[in-house]
Amino acid sequence: MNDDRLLFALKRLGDEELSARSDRKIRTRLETAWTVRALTMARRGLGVRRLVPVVAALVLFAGSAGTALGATADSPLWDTRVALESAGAFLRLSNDDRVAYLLDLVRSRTDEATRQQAAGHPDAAAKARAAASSALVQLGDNAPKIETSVPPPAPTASASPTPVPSASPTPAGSATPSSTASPMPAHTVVPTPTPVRTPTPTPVRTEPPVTTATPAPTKQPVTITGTVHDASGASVFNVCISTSPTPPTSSTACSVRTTTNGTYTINASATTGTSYTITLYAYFTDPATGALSSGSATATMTAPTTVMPLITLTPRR
Amino acid sequence: MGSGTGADAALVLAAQAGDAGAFGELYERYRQPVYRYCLARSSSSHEAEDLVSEVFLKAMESLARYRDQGLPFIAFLYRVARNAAIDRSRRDRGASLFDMTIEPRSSVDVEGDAARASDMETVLAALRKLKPEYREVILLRFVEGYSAADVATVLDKAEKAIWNLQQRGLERLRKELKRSGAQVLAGLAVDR
Repeated sequence: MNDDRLLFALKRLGDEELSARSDRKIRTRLETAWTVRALTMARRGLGVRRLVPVVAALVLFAGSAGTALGATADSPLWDTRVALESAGAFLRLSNDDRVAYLLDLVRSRTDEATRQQAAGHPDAAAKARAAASSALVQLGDNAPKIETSVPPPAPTASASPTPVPSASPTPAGSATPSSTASPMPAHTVVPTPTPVRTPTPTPVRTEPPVTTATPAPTKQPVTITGTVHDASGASVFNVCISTSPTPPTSSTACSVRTTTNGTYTINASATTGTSYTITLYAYFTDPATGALSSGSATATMTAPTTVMPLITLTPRR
Repeated sequence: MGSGTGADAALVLAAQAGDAGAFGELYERYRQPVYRYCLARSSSSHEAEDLVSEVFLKAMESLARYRDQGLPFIAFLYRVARNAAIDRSRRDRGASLFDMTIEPRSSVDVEGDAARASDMETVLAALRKLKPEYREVILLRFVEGYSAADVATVLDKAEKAIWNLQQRGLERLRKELKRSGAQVLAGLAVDR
């Protein structure tokens, strides 16, 4: 073969192109990864406002956010819609707005699941349900945490040797500001009373409410890390890590994916003084065979950084 | 290659600042050359597509650490692709190099697609048998059409070394093609 022919044959390789279908799949994967990355950065303290250009720019990346946001669960743009909507929660500057927004998301995605099921699209319905679950997880992260085990102290009789009934800030009636702030129908919020100090007529002022009051629960960032191996003990890349015991139906149902060395890191927030037991599920679909393998690990979170036990993947069924 | 470097730098900076659209533009610019590179290093078009996804995900992860040192962004992507391909071949050791399949481009010209796929398989199979350094130089020079100086920049080698690799690579490629050359020659004769 002479050089001309060889070069001609090589040049023809330059005509090879990524198929449109794969291109779409890769874009969706990148969009999701970008959103997760942006959310992770925001959680690490880069600030919510910084996400505004990120989410706005997703519009360019996705082509048309308007189209994506109207996408139904049986559309290829559904994953983009879910990613955009999830990122949208971080554009709400107040927690109350965010909770209300996430509740709407849960409702609209559940409605979408019902619609798709009724239309005879079980796969699309499952995707919508997975998105609703994902919104619920986000909601759980943002909803006010309830400390039911420690009732708020009532600064009453035992605290003060001279009980003055009118001065006792009992949490009643109009003095419950947080009860309307949380639109969480599933929970009964035990209001932590902010003692509105009406002037106490007695000059002797002991401060029992201050010394015995339960500290207001605060959130702190936590990191959960771990590793996933296959049955042979090798690290596995691109494993979906989820909090759901059922396999994900879309990439957005994964909290994170493992890196090339089989490790994963989840950044979240937790309420101080609360003990959490976490179970994480790992799902991996072999790209060659399509076989699904899974595994799980459970740990109790006692420190800002929790290292999960090793997850070993085993074939399902 | 040089023409897009300034624009690439601006896009990289914007992407580093959180602009997803800028990263999307970089993907738009380079997905096809990266795909062809991956195709030459994979055993199937499906695997190459997976690899492209992996390359851009890794590029996204490394974006914060990326520093413009005068190298074009595509050089960075090729390096990411090379490492990803090496990682993958280590993981998938044992997979056949010859199970390459090319999907027909359309369902209209079935015969043309089949002939084309056959040529492609032969050239790709021969290319895959070369050492990675030969394969990269040939791919960048003759498939992507970069100058020897550009390839030297991408691969961080001297230009003279690129000429040598090209020369030796072409010789090896000819030898490989000779073994299964009849099909390629037939295919080329029809095309010309």
